[in-house]
Order: sequence, then C-alpha cells, then structure tokens
Amino acid sequence: MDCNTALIGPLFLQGIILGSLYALIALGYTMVYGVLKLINFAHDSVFMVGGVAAFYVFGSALGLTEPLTGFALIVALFGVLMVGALASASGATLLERGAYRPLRRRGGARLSFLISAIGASFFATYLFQQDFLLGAGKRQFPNLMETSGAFSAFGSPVNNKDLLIVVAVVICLVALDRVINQTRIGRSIRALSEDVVAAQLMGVNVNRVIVTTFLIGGFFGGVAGALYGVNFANVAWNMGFIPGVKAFTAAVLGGIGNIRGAMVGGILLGLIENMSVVCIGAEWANVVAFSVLPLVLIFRPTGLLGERIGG
Amino acid sequence: MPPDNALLELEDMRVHYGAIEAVKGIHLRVEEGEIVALIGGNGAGKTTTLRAISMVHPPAGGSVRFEGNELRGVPSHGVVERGIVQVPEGRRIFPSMSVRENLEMGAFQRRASRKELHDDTRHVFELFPVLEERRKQAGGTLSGGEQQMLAIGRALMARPKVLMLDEPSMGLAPQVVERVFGVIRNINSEGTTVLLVEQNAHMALQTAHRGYVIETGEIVLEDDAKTLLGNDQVRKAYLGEE
Ligand SMILES: Nc1ncnc2c1ncn2[C@@H]1O[C@H](COP(=O)(O)OP(=O)(O)O)[C@@H](O)[C@H]1O
Ligand SMILES: [Mg+2]
Repeated sequence: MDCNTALIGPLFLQGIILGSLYALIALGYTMVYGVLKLINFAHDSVFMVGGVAAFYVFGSALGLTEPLTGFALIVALFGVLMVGALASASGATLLERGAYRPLRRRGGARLSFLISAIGASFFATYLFQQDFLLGAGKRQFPNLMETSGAFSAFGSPVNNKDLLIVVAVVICLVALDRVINQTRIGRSIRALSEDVVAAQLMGVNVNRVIVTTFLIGGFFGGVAGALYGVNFANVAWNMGFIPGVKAFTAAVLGGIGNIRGAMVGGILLGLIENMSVVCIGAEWANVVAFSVLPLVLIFRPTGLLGERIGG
Repeated sequence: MPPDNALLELEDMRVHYGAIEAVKGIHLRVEEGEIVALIGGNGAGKTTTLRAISMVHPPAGGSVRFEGNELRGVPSHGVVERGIVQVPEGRRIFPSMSVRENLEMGAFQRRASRKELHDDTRHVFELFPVLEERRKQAGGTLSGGEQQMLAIGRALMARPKVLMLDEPSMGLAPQVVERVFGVIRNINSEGTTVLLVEQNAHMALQTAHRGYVIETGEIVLEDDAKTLLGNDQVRKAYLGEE
C-alpha cells in the first residue's frame, strides 16, 4: 500500500466539510430515533426535497444564471437555505402525518413502521424522478456564487463554498443545542426520548412533540439539501441516497439518539472516508465509509457517545 | 360539583391488555381532601388502574369522572392539565436530566413563569432538603429514596388537585418509608387529595382515611382504613398475620 501523503491536507479539509453535511443530515435520523425509537428511512427524501425546492425557486422560478456578489449574494444564499429548510420541514411533517401517525394510532408493530418508512422513501424519490417534477437526469443548480479562495488551512486552500458549508452547519448546530437544552419544546423532546410514559405523566403532548421533532430534523435536512445544491452545482431525484445512508451511518457511529453523537459521527465519517483515499484510493471511499456501519454494530453497538439525547 | 361530592369516581371501569381483562369493572371514589388507599398483591391491577385514570392506557369500558366530567377520551396531557398527577411505579425519573430539570418537567403543563418555578422549587426543597444539595446532579445518579422524593417533588410541581402515588414504599429502607409517608400526610393536610396504591398495606392503611382491596382486577373489600386494619381477611392476606 503506498500512501500519497501530499493529499493528507486537502483531504482532511474535504473530510471535515463533507462530514459537517453528514452531521446536519444525521441530526434528523437521530432526533426521530430519540423520540420514536424508529429509524426514519425516508429522511434521505426529506433532504432531497430541500435541494430540489431551492432549485425550483432559484433556478426555475427566478432563473438566476449569473453569479451574484456582495449583499445580493448574501440575501440569495440565505434565501436558498431557508427555502430548502422550509420545504424539507413541511415534507417531514407530511411524512409523519401520512406514513407514521396512522400506524401509531392503530398500534402498529415495529416492523410495520420500518416498512412504511422504506415505502415512503421510495415513493417520494420516484415521484421526483417523473418528468413533470424533476425528471431522470441531474439538473443544474443555479451558480449563485463564483468559486474563489477564501483562505488556507491544513496547507490547502479553502474556497468560499467550503466556508459557507462550515459556517451554516456551525450556526445550525449551535441553534439546535440551544433549542434542545434551553427551551420548553426542547425539554419535552428530551423527556420523550428518555421515558415516554413519564413524559406523558408530566403532561407532554406526545403527538405534538413527535411532529415538532420531524419538523426540526427536516429543517436541518433541508439546509443540507440546499447546501448540497450550491456546493455540487446540481440536484437530482436520487441525490439523497448516498448522503442519506452515510448520515445514518454517522448517527449510528456517534450513538443513535444522541444529538452530539450525530455531530461527532458526521465529522468522523467524513474524515474516515476521505483519509481512506490517501492510502487506498478514491474508488474505495464508499466501501470504507459503509464498512463503518457493521463494524460499529459489532464492536460498539451504542456508538461512540452512547444512545442518549440532549445535554 | 355533582351532588354526591366525589372528586374522582370510577364506575364499572374495565381495562384490557389485548384480550386480557386486567381490571374487571371496578367502582372507586375519592372525595375532596381524603387519602384513599388501594391495596393489593402483585399483579392485582393497581398500576393498571392508575394508568387508566391518567389515560396513558385508557379504559375499555365504564367511566372515570373527575369533578363531575368524564375523562375517557381526554388525552393523557389533558388529564394532567385538569389536575390529576401521578407518581409512577418505579419513580421514572428522567435519568440524564438534573434534579432541577426533573422538577421543572413536573411544572411542564402549567407553563409556569420563572418566578412560580422558583417558588415551587423552593417549596419542594423545603420538603426534601437533600434534593437541594443534589440539585445539579443527574437524576439517574440518586439513591432509591432520593429518587422517590424527587418523583414526589416533581409531581407537586404540577400543583395537583389529586396526587396518585404508585407504591412509593417499594424498595426503600424502613426509615425512608416513614419519611415518605410523613410527607404524604403533610401534602394531604395542605389540601391535596391523595390516591395511594400500595402492597405495603400496613403503612398505607395507617396513613389513609379509607381503603379498597383489589384482587385479580376486582375490588373485594372497601371500608374505613382503621376497620380494614382490623379485618381478619386483610390481616391474613396483606399484613402477614395468622
Ligand atoms: N403491558 C401489559 N401487557 C399485558 N399484561 C399486562 C401489562 N401490564 C400488566 N399486565 C397484567 O395485568 C395484570 C395487572 O398488572 P398491574 O396492574 O401491573 O398489577 P399491580 O400493579 O397490582 O402489581 C397482571 O396480571 C399483569 O400481568
Ligand atoms: Mg404495580
């Protein structure tokens, strides 16, 4: 095995950037798991919907083709992320109402939730593949921002898109931490994650907390979807598949149900995947990333930080 | 208030787990200001009864009336809002939340102001000084007795009209049991109505005004607590006397 040490710096950086996107998506998996003890396998479509909605509004509707600068750029970027966030939050809420709540009301078995989740994911994904929505190919995302170097770190240049991702993710993570640990709704999410019956006996409205959890997870998934569009300059009906499975892996790696675990797991998975390129080769990156899932489940089933939500 | 003056009244309440009927049409009334004990052996249906009243596992038949209004169909958070609060079996403290956060969860449905939270927390700390010492500690790290005090304090934070306690003496040392029951009497004398579920019939009947005995989902005896303490059947079955 010969390692290309010149790649270490740039790939380390790439790992952190990609990893922060995984972390943002992983929050949705881990929060829903916390309150429902259910893996929401449709969260990859929730992510996709955010990217696609931002594409519709800024590409199809506003028809932005030329890169923006200055204040207009900042407004546009904020707009893109908010459109993605709101679209995905709505999508996640619909998903909860349509695919999960009816099962809860009927006291469905654990397996039926899983099957419903997978069904909902395929439904949404293939719906967007239809020509009247997105079509089968990739669609070009409006080039809002000319790529340019911002500064350099770990001996390699950081461009403005990298910086956008890291800044947006950090803001989201700090905001979520605040919400979970310092607000009434955050406290009810933690309570429900720790003990459903005790939460009910404190007067927590379980259905309301569950739908809010989907909404918050969807919001961050949508920000990630829009960031994906800006960074990779395209969106597609199947864009959620790989990032979705990786974010799920990151959530398990950090400890499913554990919010800080999802953050740590995301960054770590981004690093593992990218550093493997240094010695093994780019074509193996996905193999290495996905091997993390069985390895964690075998050797540390509760993940690095353990199953636990909040503070 | 209905004419008969019962604060909480179960009429022919039935509770099912799938095909199994765990509570088979019981009648039980709790009047304002009372301590009522519901005693019975393991598996008799005590916890099921309390969970049904809280609508965490709603009854399949009969009625549950509180202040004259039917509770069936009310969601569990609505029951807490109306003033029926439960200290559950096994205490169910939120393990990763601090003592203070656990207490604040108790006031969750009231949307209490900062000031109210502060005052009510002080009141609980006066009842249980050890909780103040431990206020920053995670609930899961407390001893059994401390957790029971926290569970009771947490329920008081909801300012209940009826406080229901499910086996508060379970797993506690005798001196701790004495303290816990002392606090229950205090809470009652300050105006809170109490429904007390216990296997420890002796403590429960000494504390209560009236009592019910439940066996395999049916009420088999009902009387003044003193009378039940002297009852032969109760002495043999629940007080370990020959
Ligand atoms: N979740 C459940 N599913 C099925 N049966 C249950 C469940 N919980 C309790 N039971 C049964 O209902 C009966 C009453 O239980 P419970 O109310 O817990 O008794 P107690 O609190 O008096 O010890 C028991 O026979 C018990 O096995
Ligand atoms: Mg019990």
